[in-house]
Amino acid sequence: MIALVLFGNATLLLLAAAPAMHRHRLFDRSPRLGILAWQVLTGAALLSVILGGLTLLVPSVPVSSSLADFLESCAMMLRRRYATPAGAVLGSLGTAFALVVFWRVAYHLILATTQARRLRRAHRETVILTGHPRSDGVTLLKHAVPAVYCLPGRRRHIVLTTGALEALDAEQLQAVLAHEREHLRAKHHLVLMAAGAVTTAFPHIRAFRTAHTEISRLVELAADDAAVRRSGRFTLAEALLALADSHRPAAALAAGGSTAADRVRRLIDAQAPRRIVPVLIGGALATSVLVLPVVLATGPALSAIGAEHCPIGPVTWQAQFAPLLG
Amino acid sequence: MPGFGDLEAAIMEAIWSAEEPLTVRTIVDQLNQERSLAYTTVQTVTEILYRKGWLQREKDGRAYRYWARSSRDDYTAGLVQEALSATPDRTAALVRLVKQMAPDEAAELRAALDTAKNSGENP
Repeated sequence: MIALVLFGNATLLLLAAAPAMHRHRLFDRSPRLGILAWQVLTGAALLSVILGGLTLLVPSVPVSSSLADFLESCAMMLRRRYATPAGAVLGSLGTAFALVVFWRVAYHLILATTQARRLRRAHRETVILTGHPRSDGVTLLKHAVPAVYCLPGRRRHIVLTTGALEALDAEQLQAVLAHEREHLRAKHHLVLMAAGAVTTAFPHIRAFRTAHTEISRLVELAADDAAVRRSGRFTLAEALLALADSHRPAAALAAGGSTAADRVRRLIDAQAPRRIVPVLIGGALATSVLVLPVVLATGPALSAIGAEHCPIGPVTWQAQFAPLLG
Repeated sequence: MPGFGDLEAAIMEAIWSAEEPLTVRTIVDQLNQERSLAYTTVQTVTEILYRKGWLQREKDGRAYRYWARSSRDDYTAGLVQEALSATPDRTAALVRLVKQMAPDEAAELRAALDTAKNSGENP
């Protein structure tokens, strides 16, 4: 049954593909592809699960050129589904499940957006009142601890402390600003927020937590790459070292070594960015993973569109291949 | 009037720079050295800042005298604290550049960087 294939696809993605992607660190050399891949994996898993639940209710989507026929086919399928008690239970469970999953994702996305906006607004207001705007649009805070960060959103700011200004020379400063500007340009905050929301929606699924961690890491690498294109990797490496090396006791380092060190090491080691062909192949594979479950769910309907005559009843895989199977 | 920011920042600047609580009249006079503002505009915005909790006030005769709830440095320290805070920010309100690094790790990387540069590699 289609539902089984879809649920199977989701399971495969979450239990096999995600750990494999994480273990092999495929994307350090092309972080932008990696961000996309993790988003595709998350989206494909969720979509497969939701479609799987829905196809328990209506095994295939009936399509015809007239709305009346379409509705009648749908009604017929529903009636057929609810004709047997087992079918009714299955259909109802499937729909309920699909709706619950969809709702959890939507709810947590909305929650994350409003929370982020509120936090950001409060922080931004304080920055505006206490900071000193510079001619290059960056806001300066008088503070000894070096810090550089950006406030994304519709009213965006890049914020810099005087401590950071003292720690960096002119070229290093430009590299660091290029890094922040890339975060703003590529709207990384949206990607991070979505990944975080999915983790909050389904806290027990490790693959989503992995996706969030990996996306957070890759987003920094992508911004680093943009800064390197502008200023060179040694300049950025020096800037990162200057900012991260502090006499204060380090705030909780990530388990297993600090990400900043990995980033500096990556800049020093300087592997060339991945060549274009593997990137395209990777992209094609990733897209097919997303498209496959959707095709499976709606395939019969899509083929009906191309049929020469409008189908009178619902089109299923069996009906499609009946002539071939004899 | 420009969006939230310029006037509010200017008023806070005036109040932080002062050594004593100020009346709106004093603030207007100070600000009018650089721009022309109506008294009522400044009064409205000052009251908004008070209501948002940035300022405190007490009545002095018929007018209010305003002072800042905390010093500028206190607010700035709060900002940087938030920006550098250890918890991974799920809501991605801010995106900070880099987390702190252990000093010995930093030293090791500095050495590696110097080696790479001295080996004449192409940056």
